[in-house]
Order: sequence, then C-alpha cells, then structure tokens
Amino acid sequence: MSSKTPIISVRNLVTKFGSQVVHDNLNMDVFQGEIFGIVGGSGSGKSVLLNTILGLRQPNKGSISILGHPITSLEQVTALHLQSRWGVLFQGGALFSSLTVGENIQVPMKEMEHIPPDLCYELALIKLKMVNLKESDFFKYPSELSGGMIKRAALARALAVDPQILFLDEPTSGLDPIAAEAFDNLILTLRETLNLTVVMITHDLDSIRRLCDRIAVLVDKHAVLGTLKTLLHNKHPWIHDYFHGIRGQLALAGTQE
Amino acid sequence: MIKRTKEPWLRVQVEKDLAMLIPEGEWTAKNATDIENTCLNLLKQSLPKTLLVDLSKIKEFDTAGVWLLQRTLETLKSSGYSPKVENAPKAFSILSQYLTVYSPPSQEKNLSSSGFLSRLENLGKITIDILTSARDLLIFLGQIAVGLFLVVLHPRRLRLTALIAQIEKAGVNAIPIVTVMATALGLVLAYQGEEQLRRFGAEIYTINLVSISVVREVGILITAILVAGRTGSAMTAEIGIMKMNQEIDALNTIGLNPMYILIIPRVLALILIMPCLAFISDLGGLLGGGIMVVESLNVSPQLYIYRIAEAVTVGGFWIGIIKAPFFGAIIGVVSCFEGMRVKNTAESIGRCTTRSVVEGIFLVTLADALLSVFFSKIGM
Repeated sequence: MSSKTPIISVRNLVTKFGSQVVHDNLNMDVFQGEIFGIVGGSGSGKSVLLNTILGLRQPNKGSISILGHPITSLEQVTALHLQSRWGVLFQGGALFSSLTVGENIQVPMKEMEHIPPDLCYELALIKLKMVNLKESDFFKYPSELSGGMIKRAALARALAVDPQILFLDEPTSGLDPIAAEAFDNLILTLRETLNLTVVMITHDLDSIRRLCDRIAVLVDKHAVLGTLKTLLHNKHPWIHDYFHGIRGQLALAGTQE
Repeated sequence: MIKRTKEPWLRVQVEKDLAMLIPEGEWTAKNATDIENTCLNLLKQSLPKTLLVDLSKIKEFDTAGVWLLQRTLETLKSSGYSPKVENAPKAFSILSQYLTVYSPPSQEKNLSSSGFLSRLENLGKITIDILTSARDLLIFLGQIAVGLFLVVLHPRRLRLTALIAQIEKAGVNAIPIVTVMATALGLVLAYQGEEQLRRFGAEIYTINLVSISVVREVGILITAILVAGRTGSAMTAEIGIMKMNQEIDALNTIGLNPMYILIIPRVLALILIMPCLAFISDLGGLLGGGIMVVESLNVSPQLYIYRIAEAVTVGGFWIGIIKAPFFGAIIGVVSCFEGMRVKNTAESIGRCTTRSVVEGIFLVTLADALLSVFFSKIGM
C-alpha cells in the first residue's frame, strides 16, 4: 500500500480445464507490503490461481506480472531470478523427502551462491527457530515429522532467502490454535521488519481477521476484492454466507461495524 | 580511517578512545560473502574498547545481514569490547530481538570410531538387515499362503474384477513384447548354435539345440525376467505409493483387508498368466529358430516341425511350463512385499522398486537352478 504500482497484477485471466472454465476474466492487484488473502469455496480455483501466478501453469488467456515482469512460463521465472525473491509454502508442505529438515531449508540458500556454507547452516537454524521448531528437528527427515511440524518446516524453507513475496497455501490448516497464533504473529513481525508482501490462501477466519489487509473472494469465476469491512456488507449470497455463518460470526465478533 | 569496499561496507571512524562503526548499503543475503569478509576484517583491527554502532545509514537489511552484524558484535563483546547500538531503525531492533534468542550450537556430526570398527559395524548392520528382510519375506509368504488357502475355501473373498484387471495388465498386454523378445532370442540361439555345429557337420542338430533349450529353459526364463522388470516393478511402485498416500491405512480402517484387495489378485494373476506367457514365448522362440533354420539350412518348414516333435518330448515341454507358476508366484510375492516395505520418502520408492526387480530375477534364477538339478536327479 506504500506504493501505487502493484507488485503482482493479474489481468483478464482465463483458466480452463477442457471445457470447464475455472477463471473467467479474473483481475486482481497485490500491492507492496500488504497481506492479501484469497478465499473461496472448494473447487473455486484458489490453488490453480496460485499455481498460475507462480508460473507453474500457463494461463489460457490474460496476463500476469510480478514485480513489473510479465510471467507466462516457468522459464521466464527462472531467467528473472524471481525464485530468489519469493518463497512458497505449498499446501502439503512439499518438503524434499530425501533431505533432512535442515538441508531442506538450505536448498534455496545454496541456490543463491552468495552465501558461505557456514552461514547457510546458521541461517537455517535461525529460520528453524523462527517457526518454533526445535534444534533436534534440524536433523530429522520429513517422514519423521507430524503434519503441523511439516507445515512449519516448509514455512522455514519458504522464508529461507528472505523473500520479498511470500505465497502461502492454507498455512494454518492442520495447526493447533497456539501454533496458528504464533504463525500469525510471525507473519506480522516479518511484514513489519522486512516489508514482506504476503499472498495467502486461507479458510481460517481468525487469520483473515488478524492478518489480511485485503481479501479476494473467488466466486462465479471472478475475484471480488475488498477489505474485510467492505466484504461484510457484500450482498453476494456466497460471500454473505461465508462471513455471516455461525463460524464467521464467532470468529469475526467485534469486527462488525 | 575510512574503509570502503563494494557495497555493503562498514565505515570505521576512530576518535581518541571511541570508535564509530557505521554500516552502510545493503546488508542482505545476496551480499553475504562481502558482509562476512568486512566483519572478519573488522575483528582483525585493533580498536578502542568503546564502540558505537550507528545504524542510521543502513539502507537495506534482512535476517542474514542482521545476524552477521549481531554475530560480530557478540564476538567483540566476548573479547572485551563494549559495543553499543544507536539509531537502529524500528524494524531492525524487532528483527534483532528475534535473533538474539538464537545461539546456534556447534555443528553436530556423528564421528565414527576407527575405520575398521565402523566397517565391522556396517557388516553387522547389513547382515542383520538381510536376515530380517529374509524373515519378513517368509512371514509375508506365509500370510499370502494363508490368504490363498482361505480364498480357495471361501471363493467369494476373491476380488474377481481386480484379478481380471491384473491379468489384462500383466498378461494380455505383455504378449507382444514377450513374443518379440522370444523370437529374437530363438534367432540368436539358432545362428550361434549353427555356426558351432557346422564344424562337426551336425548343423541339422541346430533344430534340437534350439527347440530343447527354448522349451525347457530360455522361453520361461526370458518371460520371467521380462515380467519381473515390467510388471513386478509396476506393482511395487503402485503399492508403495498407495502406502505413502495412506491408502493402505484407509483400506484397513474401512475393514477391507489389503491382502485380499491388492495382494492376492496380483499374485494370483501372475501365477495364472505365467504359464500362458511361457507357452507363447516357447512358440516365439521356436518361430525365431525356424526362420533361421528354414532360411539357411534348406530345411522345409514341415521337416523343421517334424524334427522338433522328435527332439522335444512331452515331458520336456511340461518341465518348462510347470516352472512358470512358481516363477510367477516368486515375482508376485517379492514385488508386493517390497511395495509394502516402502517408507514415507520418494527415495524409498526407488530403492524398493529396484530391490523388487533385482530380488525377483535373482530368486527366479535360483529357483530355476534348483529345479533343473531336481529334474535331472529324477531323470527327466
């Protein structure tokens, strides 16, 4: 929000699987330093949208630009060294199963070449502790971790190179409330200190309330953008049900007006 | 004294008994090597005991930069300096608060004792490993035997659809490749055999050589090797991924026994299709040999077939075929066993699939050798 030029902009995106249209002329902008939430029902194309932004999937139509560079393929992403400027937390963690947690965190750092190996090791430990994992977890393999620990280790890997943009796919699902709160705090701190831009897919209404500056709701193949306050007044039936259901009311109590 | 290297740098100003350290530029991960060198240089200099770190000039920083600066200050502190940080941007102090908690431990490494001892230890580990997997394989074999027995007693437990699907995948779809390979092998055998036998003027015995070796040994062995490579590996990978995905656990909780759903249909399918594939492979081998014999020995096809009938006894034919179900069972049991041993890593899928093919072919060859000895002892 500090600058008017968007850090990520999606223009007229069309995504199709065969004859099934997932996104139809979807538009959205994400600005520097904001925490941007993406919500939507199952099958509304949240993860597909994320994959398209990351260049993992070619859009059928439309354009996407990140940090001012248009992205249409993974080759372009690699050529622009964008991967050292973003970190991605996948839904299932996607840790490399043949590497230990510590090695997993060091993978993106070693890719950067400028960091001496000893420093890589120290920084990896720091990231590990940032996400509240124990030192002893450093030498464990992903198969020895619980679901929540995998999430946190994957977040540590996403944060490895201090990215400018952090993409999170359901970061707090599968975490206990204490861990989820610690996660929210960590994201807020990082945003404050590193001016991080965060794009997160989430269903966690508590996270949405605490973190998100703006929200995109994927309904009817489009994105409805707004802040939590404006979306609370939105008349669209799905959006209304989403925020005014019993769960929504419990989580957002006090936010109304 | 102004020190100025590439960005980022650390300006040092000495005034009597006070030194000002002024970090400037980008203190980020991409400049980590430069920052580290700068910091190490600083540690080498002799400075007044009181240090003032002025952070007002720092342009950009991230955890790597903050950590490096902090590490340097810690080292300075422990060697008797008293550094004081001033004008830190708010974000910097928050970040450094996050980092002060962390003092990385020294790198732990499991140092092995002496070379000889560690090798001995390894030898012991491998021995135990082999013995336990042999024991587990035996247990698994027993479970399958019980399962098969129960299926015979209660035929309704048999998953017919799964069985037929497996027969199609492992058997019917393998017919073309089995035929082609057996034919090629028959050709090769005939050519090599004819060349040697011609020296004795006995080239007509090429027919005996080819037909007996194909029908008794080569046909079934090449089929078994092919099935182990083609179907055995696929079965291991399939079951392994299902295990990683917790699909096996899901089956168990629903009350479906993976033994009857996954393993028995696969093993049974292999037991049933192997004799058929062996028969097809025999025909292919004889066809390949025939092409060569008819082509270069001026033997009519009728005579070739007649000579085969003379050379190959009915017993000889059955010796080849009777081995097939055993080989099928070996391949099926080994590949399912290895599939169930897959752990939660991508690496273990690769390891188990390799092992399934290698162990399958090894055990098939071993069984073939034992059966050959057995058949020759009983005079067949």
